[in-house]
Amino acid sequence: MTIEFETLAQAIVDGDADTALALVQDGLGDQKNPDLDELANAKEILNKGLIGGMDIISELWIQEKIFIPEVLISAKVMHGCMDHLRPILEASNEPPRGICVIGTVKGDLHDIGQNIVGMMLKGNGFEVHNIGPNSSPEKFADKVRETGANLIGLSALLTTTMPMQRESIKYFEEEGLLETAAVMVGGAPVTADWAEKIDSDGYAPDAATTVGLAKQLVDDLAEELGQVAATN
Amino acid sequence: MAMDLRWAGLDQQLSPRLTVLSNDQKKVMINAAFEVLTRAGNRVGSKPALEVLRKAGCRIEPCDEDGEKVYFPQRLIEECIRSAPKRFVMYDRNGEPKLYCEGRNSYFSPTSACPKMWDPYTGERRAWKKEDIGNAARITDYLPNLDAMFALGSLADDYGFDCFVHEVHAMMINTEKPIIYLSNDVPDTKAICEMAALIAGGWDRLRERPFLLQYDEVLSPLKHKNHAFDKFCYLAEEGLPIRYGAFTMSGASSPVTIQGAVVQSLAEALVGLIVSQLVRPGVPYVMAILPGIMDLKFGILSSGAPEYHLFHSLYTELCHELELPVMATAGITDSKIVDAQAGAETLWSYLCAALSGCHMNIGAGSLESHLIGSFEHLVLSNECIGAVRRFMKGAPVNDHTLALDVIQAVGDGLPNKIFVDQEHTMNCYLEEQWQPEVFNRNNFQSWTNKGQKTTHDWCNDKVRWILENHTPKQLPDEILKQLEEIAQGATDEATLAVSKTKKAKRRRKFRAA
Repeated sequence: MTIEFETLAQAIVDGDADTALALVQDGLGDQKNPDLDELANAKEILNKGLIGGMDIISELWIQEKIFIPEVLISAKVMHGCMDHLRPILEASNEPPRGICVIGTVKGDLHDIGQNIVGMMLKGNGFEVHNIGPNSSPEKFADKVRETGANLIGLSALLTTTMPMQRESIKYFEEEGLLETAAVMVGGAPVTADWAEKIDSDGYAPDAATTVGLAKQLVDDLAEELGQVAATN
Repeated sequence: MAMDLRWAGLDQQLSPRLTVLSNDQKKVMINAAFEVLTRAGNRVGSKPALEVLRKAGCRIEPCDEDGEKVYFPQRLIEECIRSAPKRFVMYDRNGEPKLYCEGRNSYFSPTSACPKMWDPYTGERRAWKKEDIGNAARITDYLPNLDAMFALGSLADDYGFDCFVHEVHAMMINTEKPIIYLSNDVPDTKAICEMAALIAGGWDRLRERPFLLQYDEVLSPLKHKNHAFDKFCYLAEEGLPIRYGAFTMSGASSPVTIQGAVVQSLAEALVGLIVSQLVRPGVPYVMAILPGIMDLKFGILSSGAPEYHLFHSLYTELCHELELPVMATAGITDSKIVDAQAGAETLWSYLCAALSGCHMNIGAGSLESHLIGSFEHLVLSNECIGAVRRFMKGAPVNDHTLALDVIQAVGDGLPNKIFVDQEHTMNCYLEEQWQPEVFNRNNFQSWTNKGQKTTHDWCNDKVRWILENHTPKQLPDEILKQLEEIAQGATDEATLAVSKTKKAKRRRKFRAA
């Protein structure tokens, strides 16, 4: 039996966990068919069904047609489905869309915004390591090394802690982390001007547009690293 | 012609007021806040605060590296509420009493920490300079309906964490009005109080006539920052007033239902009250609230939402019920410029604040919900508060206001007799009718002759006029010199120099979504 990816995507959009999980399980049941590649099957469920659904959600959010609670419920359903796909994807060493370490900079205890961004990224196929508020540059760096992250998200909610975004980026550079990871910054007082001034790689004004930015940064980086590999 | 009004008590007017809750509802909500304090853990990390709480009999359980969970006995909550002063008077820089936080009085001030500002001359949206904070203070000093000063902007761009002492310094030398301030830590607060004592003429005089009030926030939900409580313990020991409360976002850091958000916020502010009263019983404490609404479509903090005003009114009512001084944000708009939205949201907010009798209301000058500071909005706020204050004077009913004699004289007189030239009109029209300064009442032709200006244009004209003409009363040279020294002493030049010169290098194309 082949599942209808559109139906699965719609279940994600509707936040209908029961239907989504049943469809994923049905879809994985097909693996028993020796003619089907297990990994290809799982990837198709992920990309056409789950991410397909989340892409619709992202688009609806950007168009201001839906609200954050609806987005987060869809993301939760997506996570639930991923639990069934992850063993197959991991066993094959298939890399996730991106690996992101996200947190609020040292001295800043506010974490609601970055939690929402973290959930959104996770819901869109990123592997997310949320290290929480008041995170020092060293804590970020350790997590990046440990997870092999290619994306770092620095949040700040206070005018007084925004400079810590700059200090953190400088530290990452000194530690050589920026060769293989891009940095994006955000938070209510943060502007595109500031983000560019402190040499981050990207800025998004809200959680809705962050996913698009994250994909862009990860793609830019992959292209850059590809070129580096080619010249070597 | 007159009526006998001697016994009716009608001259003792009922001031205009807004009441949302019944007496029973108020009691239920206050008890709900007590329930939160006794049963939901409040996270406290400050060592001096934990020590007094433990001694007072609170149940304290380990939580994480950021703090411990504190549960308050009912007896302690009630004792501390009884111990806090029921009224609080704030003085100005000259030691004159100005803000009587009691009854249903309402006072107004600018907001603080807006990361950017609109330059009144170039129209550019830019970072703040110390001179700009001074200008905000000069404008506030001039505008009669702004009763106190709060920095409006942030100097974090230039001074990092050392910015607060510089913000207070710029305010102190540019206005005589009472000052609300932010501070980073205990050394900051000490430096600021030292400056205040210098102006007041000694610490005892400052304690007796405080003209500064420190502003601190809860980290909702139910978390209390170490440095906030460390500073409280210092201020309470010194006998200086404290202001504390939630800057909550209903729907994110508190329940999406306003009633739940109010109960949580009340409980959070009471934690500060308990700490302050345990350190020094009777120290002045102001219950505060920033009733934010998380817009669940855009993920931003909204200050123009109707729920915001309901939140503000409910919280104020509960503080009145507890007989505690109360302070909230008001007059803030979500609009990015001074336009129709800004006018509507600002006036509505001030009207609700005054009608519910909230003692201190901070928010003037704030666009985009605290993200852009605007001198024009200070002028707009002054205008809106003026109109609200006229409304709040209400309607005493007596012979003079009923004016029956005048009505009779006009009725009995010649057929074309009107009121414009009556003595009664001459005697009281200035007091009776409020006159706008920037809301335009010209007819079309006069308005056209004056250049068809918008509200923003009128406000901008007024800002420029004040900046070019108003000089606040100056402090003595010797005091100015010492203030400058304290402010400079608070700046770690070495750190600043390093952070300004060292820079990461751009490695790839910058992307902005």
